[in-house]
Amino acid sequence: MHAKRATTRRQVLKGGGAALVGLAAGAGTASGQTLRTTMPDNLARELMAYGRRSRYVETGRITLDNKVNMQMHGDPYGFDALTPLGEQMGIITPAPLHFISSHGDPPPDVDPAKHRLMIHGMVERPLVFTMDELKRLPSVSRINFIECLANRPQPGEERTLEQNHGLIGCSEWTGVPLSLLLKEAGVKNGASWVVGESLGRTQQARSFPLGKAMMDDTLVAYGQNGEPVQPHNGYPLRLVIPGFEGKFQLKWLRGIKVTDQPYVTYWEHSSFTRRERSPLGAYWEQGPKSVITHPAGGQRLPGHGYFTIVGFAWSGTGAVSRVEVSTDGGRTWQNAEIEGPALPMAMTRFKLPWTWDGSEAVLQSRCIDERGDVQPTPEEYGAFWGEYAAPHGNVIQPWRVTSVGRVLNAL
Amino acid sequence: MRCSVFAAAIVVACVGAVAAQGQTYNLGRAPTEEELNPAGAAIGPDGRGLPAGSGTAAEGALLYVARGCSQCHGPTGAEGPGPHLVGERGSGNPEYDAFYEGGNWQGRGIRNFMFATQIWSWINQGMPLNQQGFLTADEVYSLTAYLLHRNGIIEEDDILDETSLPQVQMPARGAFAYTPDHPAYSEWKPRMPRTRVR
Ligand code: HEC
Repeated sequence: MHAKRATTRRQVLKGGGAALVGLAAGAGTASGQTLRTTMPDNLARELMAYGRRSRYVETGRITLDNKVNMQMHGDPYGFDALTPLGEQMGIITPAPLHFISSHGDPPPDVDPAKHRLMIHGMVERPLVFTMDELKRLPSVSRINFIECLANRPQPGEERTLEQNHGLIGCSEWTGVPLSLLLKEAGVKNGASWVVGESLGRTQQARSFPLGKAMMDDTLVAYGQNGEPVQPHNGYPLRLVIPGFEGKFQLKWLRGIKVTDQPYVTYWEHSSFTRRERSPLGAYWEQGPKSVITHPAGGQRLPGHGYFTIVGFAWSGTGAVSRVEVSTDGGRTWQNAEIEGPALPMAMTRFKLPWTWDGSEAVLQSRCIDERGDVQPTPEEYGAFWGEYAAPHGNVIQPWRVTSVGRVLNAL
Repeated sequence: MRCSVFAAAIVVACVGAVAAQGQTYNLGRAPTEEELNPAGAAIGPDGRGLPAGSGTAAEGALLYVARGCSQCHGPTGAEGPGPHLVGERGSGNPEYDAFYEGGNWQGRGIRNFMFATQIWSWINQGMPLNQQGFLTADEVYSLTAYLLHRNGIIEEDDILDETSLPQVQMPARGAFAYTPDHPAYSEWKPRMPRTRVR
């Protein structure tokens, strides 16, 4: 698997936080004062109805160059692309930059006026809702991350931040609690599972425990960051199951079936299953995890001096309570400062001031969540799960800063 | 009903139960019979919801070529470039394996499915990839029978239908650590089980 930048301006991407800091400090021009300029009138008008980024901003999702997808799915890149994590500001991933992993299903082209959601199976009253009806129901907005279960750091010096961690995004999701819809339909006694059904090309489905569906945090979402959910993220409806592996959070939702057994559908079982310790495909919640996003793999430090170490932490079972950072290869750890909100099952920002003296350094972070669960080392993870290179890895990610400022994967 | 405090209590309790089960918003409508049984719906391990139909391995062998399965899975099912449908999991295509298997995808390969219904359901929903949706129920039973037979799981003349398919004993049924009836799987509670590694 090779990662490929969707954009041409590698420099801007690579610089990450440092580039931004540099701009602010240098005020942008040699004279120290940026010259007055204006956008062409017609462009300025065009941007009034629906805004676009400045033409100088070219950050994009990083598409995975995968020849297999070409052969199998007739598309050169398939539908797998990474969030450009190193460029993200704050905890919200812009919807157009939220990672995609679709196993070859392109987004369906759904007219929302014709879309229906059916609640059926072990319910008193199967119900079919229109989008308008769903929007009339009391809505909830919540900030939650969605992370692919395959998002895991792997060894290889050249592996970048995004290659090791780019299958995560965090959005404000708006929708109807699934529990509300299930109560409307009346769940029958004996029911214990829920199957989400999609209208994608291969009509994928996923089953998950009714207990989670009845916790008020599980949403049938039509909104993402204040707008309709984007096609690649599930338009017009998707499941948001906070903290659970991304694979359960089905896109292009058209049905919710209540059952008394897990369905162990194709994508739950076929590729996400291990024989030891694996409850079929189901690991459910993502473990406590964190990663330094600057300085991070694939980036380059312009020279020694002051930097702010920044990163994200998250946990599938609650809020992040603490993040520790080590700048000496794990010998000593300090508490990082949490910046902005630390919400349950949401990406959480941390930062720590750091002055680089120009000598080699190994930087890493570890997350401690509100339940006291601690992000493991590869050794701890391996001892528990049998083999480290498995999916679901939430191990500590060390980055090595070389004496010339290259940042390498030290896993 | 005799009027007593006791009866009143029962009435209240019943009303309470009905209210809990009743609709609050009265939005949405009842689905039609047809809507309740969409053709590509996922089928669970017990096979409930399988359509009527039947097929055999011999019929499946012809369909395997006629319906284009061999184009991606190889003339005998073991050549790729798609995943192997006969023999060991994997494919003839190292890139495919590297991308999709990662060396850890132990559920791939026909012998590694836990339930025969999973195979039926996936062929019905997703195959042939990019053109799915045209196979009849009989054809899906036949193709499933063919693949199960080629992998030594059923006999050549076994007939698969909505009753016999869920009864096929898959060799991998007990191979995974937790099965759907294992309490660690069926009785989900928050933080179970993977977030603790210590
Ligand atoms: C265009 C290529 C293509 C065609 C044609 C095709 N398949 Fe597939 N098949 C795949 C791919 C690729 C996968 C893996 C799933 C994925 O990547 O979406 C797969 C997976 C499967 C699987 C699951 C195998 C496993 O171990 O995971 C079965 C069973 C299957 N196909 C049966 C069939 C049958 C039967 C036909 C003919 C009706 C067929 N396929 C036609 C590409 C194809």
